Amino acid sequence: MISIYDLFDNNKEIKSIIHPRYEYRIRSLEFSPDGKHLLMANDGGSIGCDGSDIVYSLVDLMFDFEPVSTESSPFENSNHPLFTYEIIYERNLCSHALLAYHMFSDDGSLVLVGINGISVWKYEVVSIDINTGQELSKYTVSQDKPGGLHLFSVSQDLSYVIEASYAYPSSPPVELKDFKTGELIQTFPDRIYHLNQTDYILSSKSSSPGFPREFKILDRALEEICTFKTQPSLLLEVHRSRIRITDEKLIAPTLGGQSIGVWDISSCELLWEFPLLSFSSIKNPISATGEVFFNDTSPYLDAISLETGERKFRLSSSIGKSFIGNQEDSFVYEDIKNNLLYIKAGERTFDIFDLESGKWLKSVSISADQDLHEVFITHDFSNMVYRSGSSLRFYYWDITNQEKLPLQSTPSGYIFQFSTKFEKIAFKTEEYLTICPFKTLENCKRLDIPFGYLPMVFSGDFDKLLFKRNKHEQALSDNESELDLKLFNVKTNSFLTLEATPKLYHEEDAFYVTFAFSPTEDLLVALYNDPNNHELHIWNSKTGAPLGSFNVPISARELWFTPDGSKIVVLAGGILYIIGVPCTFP
Amino acid sequence: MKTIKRILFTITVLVLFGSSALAIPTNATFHTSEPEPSPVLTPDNVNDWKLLYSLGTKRVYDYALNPTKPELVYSNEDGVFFYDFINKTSTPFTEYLPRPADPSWKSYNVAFSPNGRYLAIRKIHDFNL
Repeated sequence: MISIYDLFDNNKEIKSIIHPRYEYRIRSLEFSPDGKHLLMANDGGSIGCDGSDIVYSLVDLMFDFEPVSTESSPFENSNHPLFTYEIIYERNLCSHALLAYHMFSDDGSLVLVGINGISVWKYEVVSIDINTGQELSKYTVSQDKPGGLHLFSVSQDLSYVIEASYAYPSSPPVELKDFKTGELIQTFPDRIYHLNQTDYILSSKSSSPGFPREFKILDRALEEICTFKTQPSLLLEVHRSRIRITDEKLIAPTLGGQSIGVWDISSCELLWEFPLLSFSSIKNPISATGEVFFNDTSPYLDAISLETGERKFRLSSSIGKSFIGNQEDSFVYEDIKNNLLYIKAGERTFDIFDLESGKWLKSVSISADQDLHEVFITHDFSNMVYRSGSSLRFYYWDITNQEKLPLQSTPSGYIFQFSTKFEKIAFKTEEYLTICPFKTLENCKRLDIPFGYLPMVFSGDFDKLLFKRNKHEQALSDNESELDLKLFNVKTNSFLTLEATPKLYHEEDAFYVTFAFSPTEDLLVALYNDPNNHELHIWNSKTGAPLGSFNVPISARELWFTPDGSKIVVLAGGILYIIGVPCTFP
Repeated sequence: MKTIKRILFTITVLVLFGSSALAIPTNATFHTSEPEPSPVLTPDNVNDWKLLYSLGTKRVYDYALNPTKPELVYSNEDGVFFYDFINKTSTPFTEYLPRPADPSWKSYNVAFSPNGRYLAIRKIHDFNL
């Protein structure tokens, strides 16, 4: 349901609109320039689009409607001003290739740009009279040229349309063509976005590699007015739906997604910011001191105080790319002794920052001809470690001497886990795990995986290893559950079965999301999930006894202990929940 | 037997995240109070564990700029709010009360009319609540 409130009349609700088909599929709302119509963009679910589609619905709000007293009861929906409106036009556009696009032209017409959902791959611009719902004019792009052209935008005065190739920017430049005749007017080097209800045009240069992309404001003659250079930068790719234009101001998320910015589009200056703080994790995001959470705000990495939420500093990659998040090697390495911070900044590069200030100091790179992946650094910060090509073999790179070091061998399997301080590494095969000193990868220890179990996580120094039942390998009997857990003591080669927590739900739909050992290794915690319950479960990892459980948010997916073991940090839906024992003063 | 087991276990259960405990400020302010030092978490003090605080802002579903003044209207799971860019404060749109009057109503899209007079809010009923 859409409610419209009159903010000039005590916030009174004056309209209540229910779309009979798209009630739960509305993507966005926008008033027409005359304020008398509402444009709804809805997810259509059409089968004719081979993907997602948008249905635009134009609603006449009928603000001037007066019920006729001689008609039926005024409480009937059809006769009550609150429920009186009319959907006067609808059009389905496919949006799987590029977003469908809409604008209001200078004469107040609604203009829709995109693939007609009925005639597949037929790009059209249609202008619609918002008072009558009648289609006024139409432009259809020819699809007989190689490269696949699409309509990208249309000028607000409806004098020209913008055609671009799917292969842009490697293809010929963007072409401006006459709306009525289709004749080429001129070419332009960059993408053009006409900004709704303004005299301004946004252009983006996508040919430059990496980020930031260059955004400029043009006038209607396509002459440059200004360039967006203010920090934080504008986050704007091709997702026009994230841009809002109001009163010649542009509203969009800032790069890094930690605020919503408002820019003056006649000067490109950032006017205001609405601060946000949304958390996303890298591997082991909590600093050794427990004071900082390294927040993945791609392309940046923000050092956020875990006590106050304040940003201590923001790190940018020296090579102009995003720090690689969600990768196996996306760690922050703290060299406490030398007060340095090492972060992988590219395929073969580490940026080194001052640990206190976040100031960039220098970069170190591996010199190799092949593509590199899984690039790590040893705990003494002397060697970078990497794999190249499709090989599972590791290679070491001496940072000081800038040379490749020979290795005797690399254990079989994939990387399973690093110990807390990167002194040890564990590899996993189907049958066994191998624990090695990361410095040399020699004198390794093999641990066989018990049949019917899966290894889940080591404790910080690899003294304990958690297994859970693997129902795919061995069918479970009536008294067995996939939730059954077993602890292996690496030093004594002995197993401890963790006592079961209550079966809160049918086990087919219940599972543990993730686990963590406390730094002192006497606690094991797990995020448990079933359709009705989302909990943190706790065990004594020395006795195997369950100690309790707590409700957690539905979106909880990750958790960590702080290095001093005084807190548990749960990440759920971009918010950190910090659990601990409150200090009580006498 | 299962029920008894559940009851026994429940005795040891400390419900840390009640629905009210999860509510965090929705006005995009952050935790600023001085944190207290906490003892190390051990098996012996599990019953004392508490949610100490939370950091972060709830996901913003949609936003729109007021055309007449420096104000942003935004929606999140708690409802619709106005953010004053000058005073840097958020206030709820109280005439629209999905919460606490009826938490099953969620707000999503928002739009201002060009003259700033009308505010459109799309809300849906969450039948899972």
